[in-house]
Amino acid sequence: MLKRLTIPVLCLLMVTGLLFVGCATQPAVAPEKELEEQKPAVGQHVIAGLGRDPGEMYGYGAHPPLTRILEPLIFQDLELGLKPGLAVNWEPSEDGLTWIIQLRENVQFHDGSPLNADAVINNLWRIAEMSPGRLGPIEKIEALDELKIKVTHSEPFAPFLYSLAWAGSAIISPNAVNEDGSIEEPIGTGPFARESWTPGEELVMIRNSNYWGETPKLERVTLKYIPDPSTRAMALEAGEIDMIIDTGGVLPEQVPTLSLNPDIEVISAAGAVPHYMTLNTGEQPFDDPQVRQAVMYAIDPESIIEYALEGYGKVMNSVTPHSEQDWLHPDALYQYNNPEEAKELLAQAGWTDSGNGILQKDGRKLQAKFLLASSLVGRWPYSSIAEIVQAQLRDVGMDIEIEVVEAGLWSETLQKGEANISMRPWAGISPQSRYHEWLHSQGENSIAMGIFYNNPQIDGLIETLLKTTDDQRAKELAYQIQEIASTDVPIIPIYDEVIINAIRKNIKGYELHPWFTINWEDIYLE
Amino acid sequence: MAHYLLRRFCSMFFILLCVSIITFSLMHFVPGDPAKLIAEKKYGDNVTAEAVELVRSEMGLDRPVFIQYFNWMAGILRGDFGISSSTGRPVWDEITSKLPATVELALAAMLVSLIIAIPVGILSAVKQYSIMDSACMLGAMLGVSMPNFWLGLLLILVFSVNLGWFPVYGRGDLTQLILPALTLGTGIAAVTARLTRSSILETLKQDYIRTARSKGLAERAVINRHALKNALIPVVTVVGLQIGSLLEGAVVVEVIFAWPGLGRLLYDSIFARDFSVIQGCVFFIAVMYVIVNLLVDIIYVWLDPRIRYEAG
Repeated sequence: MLKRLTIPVLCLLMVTGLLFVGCATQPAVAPEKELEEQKPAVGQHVIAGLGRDPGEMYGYGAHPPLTRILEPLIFQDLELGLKPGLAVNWEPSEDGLTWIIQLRENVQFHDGSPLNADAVINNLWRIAEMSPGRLGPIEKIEALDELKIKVTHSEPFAPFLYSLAWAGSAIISPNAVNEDGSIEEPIGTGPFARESWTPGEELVMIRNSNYWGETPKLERVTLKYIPDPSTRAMALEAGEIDMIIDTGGVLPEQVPTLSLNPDIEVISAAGAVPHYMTLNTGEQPFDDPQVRQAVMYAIDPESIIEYALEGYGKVMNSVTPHSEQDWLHPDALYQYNNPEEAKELLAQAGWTDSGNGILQKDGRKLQAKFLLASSLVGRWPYSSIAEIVQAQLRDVGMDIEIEVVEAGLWSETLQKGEANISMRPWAGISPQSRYHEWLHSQGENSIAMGIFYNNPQIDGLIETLLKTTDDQRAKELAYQIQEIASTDVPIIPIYDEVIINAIRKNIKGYELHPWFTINWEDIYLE
Repeated sequence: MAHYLLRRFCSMFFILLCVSIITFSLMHFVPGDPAKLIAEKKYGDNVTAEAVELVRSEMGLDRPVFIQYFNWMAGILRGDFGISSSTGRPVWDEITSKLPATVELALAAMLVSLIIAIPVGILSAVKQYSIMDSACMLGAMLGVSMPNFWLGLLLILVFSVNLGWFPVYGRGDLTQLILPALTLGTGIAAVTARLTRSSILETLKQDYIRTARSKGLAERAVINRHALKNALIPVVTVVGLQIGSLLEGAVVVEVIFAWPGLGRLLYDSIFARDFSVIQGCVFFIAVMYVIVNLLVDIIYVWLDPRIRYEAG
């Protein structure tokens, strides 16, 4: 018997040994990389950890903006003001129908091809086809010279500049775009180029020595996909990574522990990611504006931020987030944390106590389903938030059932109108488009989130706003929209996200951007 | 033996056929329009109805379901598992690029498991009802009860962050394999240890063992030369099945340690709703599991002549 076992055991040991040797060794490297590894180490190398695959490209050719491999025509600074990017100047015509855009000179893509009018026009048409309406109703785009283009709209499109600043509008080398519009490799103009990407593991970026801006101090940046937040934090503490970046990089509950480490600095800043709670206004009970207002009065976002977010969030009193201060109507704010007012409104709406604390009307209980997507619950503490909202609404006589389902089912259920409340974050592209997305009857989120809000007055205001290029007039329209939203309450803004990142203290130059894009060219190791 | 093997091959084929039907059907039973989901990944959230229909037509999703199934199976048999909507790479390339990591971790975990479980199981059986036996079985119960993610994070905290002995995450050299293998191996060691113990106890009750003892053989010789080899036969079966389940990817451990294996690939593709990868992974894992089961059955028959004569 033992003899019978000998040969198979030996074989198994041999195979195991071969597998260990074969699997444990690094994969074969390209000859150029081998040569580079033989050179003496020069330059600096930073390793950053994050909770998503940094190399994955989105369908419309956008690469995560935090890599800065791709750049748009217009940048947004730390206050989200519009600044020159690959375009240095832009002039609208008086009627707002045309834009003359001057491109930056002496800019090359990572493949050596030049940034010129043709390349930009190729990109703009690609974006217009992939994301219809994103760049407005474009009629034509012309090259006026090598570095100047003219974009003509069929009607004024006020958010155009913000659309050009959007991550999805980044300019890619035309050589990188396949015939069907798909893009396999992000060849851009950024301070770093993609050196290699191992899907699900890491993205390695190498310095672009021909960068049009300040030459990066770092030679190489490796972005490591570490899905578990605890592992990310421990990797930083152990010194295996130098930074934790991206939204959701560091969880609020990890801050006390990381702050105790003398080698680590925790950085937090207001993000440009507001989180909205939505109501199905097409079905009972939220087809009644008084009931919606009652929900607004019953909720206390301060306690949500305190208990669910450990204080890392900012209460939103308007559909307009804090990052768009210039558009914020100071006198049309949502009113929270007034349960007595909520009860009064429900009484006026005809809801009476059924005896067990839950209100009823015409034999129907005041109840609603709060539906959440599992993918969102995994990234933000929506379950905890929903439980707090459930308790706060229970206090005013509303019975809330919370359900977490897979994203596909969530989307389908909401669009069918089979849920009453939901929640999601939404960065948005421009202040104007935000109103359209959330409050217009044909708005992207209005439909996708099953809000079913149909207010012709607000529809008209939003449609006019999208064509209004005069700042003063646009502000007046935005104010009117916010006045309606804060009294009609089709959606309830809850909080503005606070992004928390962490770096080792020898990392210098890092600035946390509201859209978590990274200023790699300024970062260096001390 | 040949007859037995033929029966096993036939049942394996039938099982794989059922798995393929269920795997394929998943995409059609999952809520949401698969064409819309794929189009959104390709073109962005603001996808038009025309783009959705284009995708539906390109991917053959407008054809009858059974035609889609046959086309999919034909592709599988050619090694074409489709294209990942997340990376744009062939699903087969995604799977084969992650497979070595999974095999490495599975074998290492199994090695850890056997190193712990076999001696513990033997010791426990030989010293039945002693303090050693109780301690071993308590350890086994702890091993089964401890959640993988908790143990993994604890090992990282102690041995990586505090002691600095091992890296925190990732795959590379042997030092990066130890903690994930320990995490995974400890859990399955508990089951193997308990099985080894009960199997040895059962074998020690056999007549031939009594004969060996009455012939005057030392207890050590009785255990090692007579009891052990027969007691390990059922253990081999369970170990084989455990290898199969390890190969499917220890998802939690791979996520905790950022280990780039099949489990992580499946986990990421589920969240990304990358249907091609999900289907490809599930089917591939099922095939591996069935093949491992078949190998285990063959080894089992080969090890135990009694089964061979019955099977013959």
